[in-house]
Amino acid sequence: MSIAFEQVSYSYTPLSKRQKKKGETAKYALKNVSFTLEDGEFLAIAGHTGSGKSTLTQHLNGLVHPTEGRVLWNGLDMADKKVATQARGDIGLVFQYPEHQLFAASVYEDVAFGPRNLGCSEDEVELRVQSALEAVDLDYEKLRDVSPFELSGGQQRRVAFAGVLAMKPTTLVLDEPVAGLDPASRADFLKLIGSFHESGMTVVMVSHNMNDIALLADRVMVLNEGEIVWLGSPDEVFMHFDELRAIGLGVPHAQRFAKEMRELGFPLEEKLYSPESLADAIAARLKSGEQS
Amino acid sequence: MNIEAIFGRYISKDSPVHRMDPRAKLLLALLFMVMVFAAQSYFTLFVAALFTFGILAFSRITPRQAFISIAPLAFLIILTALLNIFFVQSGQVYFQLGILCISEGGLSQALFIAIRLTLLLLGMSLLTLTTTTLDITDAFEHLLRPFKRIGLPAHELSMMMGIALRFLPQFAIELRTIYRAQISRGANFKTSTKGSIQMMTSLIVPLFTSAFRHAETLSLGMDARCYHGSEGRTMLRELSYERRDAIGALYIAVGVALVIALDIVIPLLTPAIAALFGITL
Ligand SMILES: Nc1ncnc2c1ncn2[C@@H]1O[C@H](COP(=O)(O)OP(=O)(O)O)[C@@H](O)[C@H]1O
Ligand SMILES: [Mg+2]
Repeated sequence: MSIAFEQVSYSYTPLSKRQKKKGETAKYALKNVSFTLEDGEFLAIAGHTGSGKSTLTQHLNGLVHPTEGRVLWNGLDMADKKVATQARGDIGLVFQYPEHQLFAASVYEDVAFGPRNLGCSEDEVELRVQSALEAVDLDYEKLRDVSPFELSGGQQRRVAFAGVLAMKPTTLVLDEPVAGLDPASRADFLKLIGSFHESGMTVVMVSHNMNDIALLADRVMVLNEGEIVWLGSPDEVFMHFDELRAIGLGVPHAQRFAKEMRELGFPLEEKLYSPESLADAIAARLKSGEQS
Repeated sequence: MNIEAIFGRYISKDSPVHRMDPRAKLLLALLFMVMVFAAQSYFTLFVAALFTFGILAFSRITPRQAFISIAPLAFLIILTALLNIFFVQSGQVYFQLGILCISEGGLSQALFIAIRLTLLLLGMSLLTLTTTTLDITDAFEHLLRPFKRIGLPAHELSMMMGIALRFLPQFAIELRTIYRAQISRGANFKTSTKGSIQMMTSLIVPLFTSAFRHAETLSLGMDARCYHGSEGRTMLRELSYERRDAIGALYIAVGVALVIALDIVIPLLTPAIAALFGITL
């Protein structure tokens, strides 16, 4: 199910008519953003703090409406309340630090909140809770009656993910899903998110870690001060070393390493590397150097 | 609606009112309340209004800013006015439907109370618009100090007030995020009747856990900085009364005196004036 942004601009403090007449200009959190989210893709949104990433994610399920422009879900304008309500069953939005929104007395009750709101029968709710908890690698039998507040931070976040997955969305939007995690759980969560995508979900992930993005994304959108600077495949976007640096972002470690090697005169192709493929390329280059 | 624009957030300006001693402002705010409540007639209310707008002018806060800051509390004014319209019944009846009755006395009383409340809110928001919360809590502590002898924990009380004020906007922001997150999970806060208690807990429990989380971090931070209450604590800026504070006090005192005097004098004089023009009351 596609979501299309048509020249979306958003201001937290829109101007009154009088201010407009005076010629004041509003401060926009999003400026003229147009793109289409394709079915089944993994889109990463990168940008410096305050560049409008969270604002954009909240447009994706109709929580906020554009000041100018439209957001279409299957061709329907999400400014319509009914459309937005419908869309929320289909587009799961996981906020930043979602574990801060847990509230129920047991893990089961918390995860069941979404499906119950959708009006599922109790049998259906139980099925969904079980499969959602399994999808986030939590033990359903062991944890179902445990209070979510007794779990570790990482487990709490898994429960919060399950709470959204239980609504069976076809699109999953994640706002900085690995923020504040230790390196080990980070890797676990990224793998988990990768597995959601492999199971056929469309995934939108906000991150400012370029390594994570390079690892997972099909497409990368770079935001700066509310505007799309680049939107394209990771290798297209990560070409722009210096420009990315200038707006406070980096490039993946492997990419930077390759660039520095190139500048030192070591011949390497200009393309996207993962740490593994870079190691292979260097080894291959060294080997062929020895032979000649 | 922007929920962070809470009643009277500090607006930084360079004005005599901003520079006044916060203790003086706090005390004068009380005196200001006396003035507004002392006004018993439209005429003296008008005088009180003149004094209010006088302060507004001195503080360089535009009337627009002042009214915007009390706009979130407009419902209070409207509610009070409505109650007065329906519960005060005297004079000519304009409209009657069952037990609902709108009379001349009710309307007049409602308008009077609405103006009085507006002035009151304007005055109070002027205090917070021109004084940082840090200054207000400082002033609060200073004014409570004399009561320390009878065992009142002045410093602790003002510290608590400062923390509460500091976290109010924070919780407003967090509440909005939680609200949106639960909406994203299909929560329906407007029309849902079944499970509406669960809807409320889905907002309140996260809000409280967040409050406890903040409290823990805060107490840890205070311990780490060796916070030990008011004993032996010095101030970065010692408060001192200046000439402008005396002028401010004089200004409000004149206002109170004028309002009270006029209210006493006018009823006494009315028959005399009437007699002067040969009108019989
Ligand atoms: N509730 C709000 N009220 C006013 N301005 C806001 C609010 N939330 C965010 N902003 C502003 O909008 C811009 C984009 O913020 P946000 O979308 O949160 O950025 P990001 O998620 O990329 O850090 C920032 O300049 C921020 O200051
Ligand atoms: Mg953000």
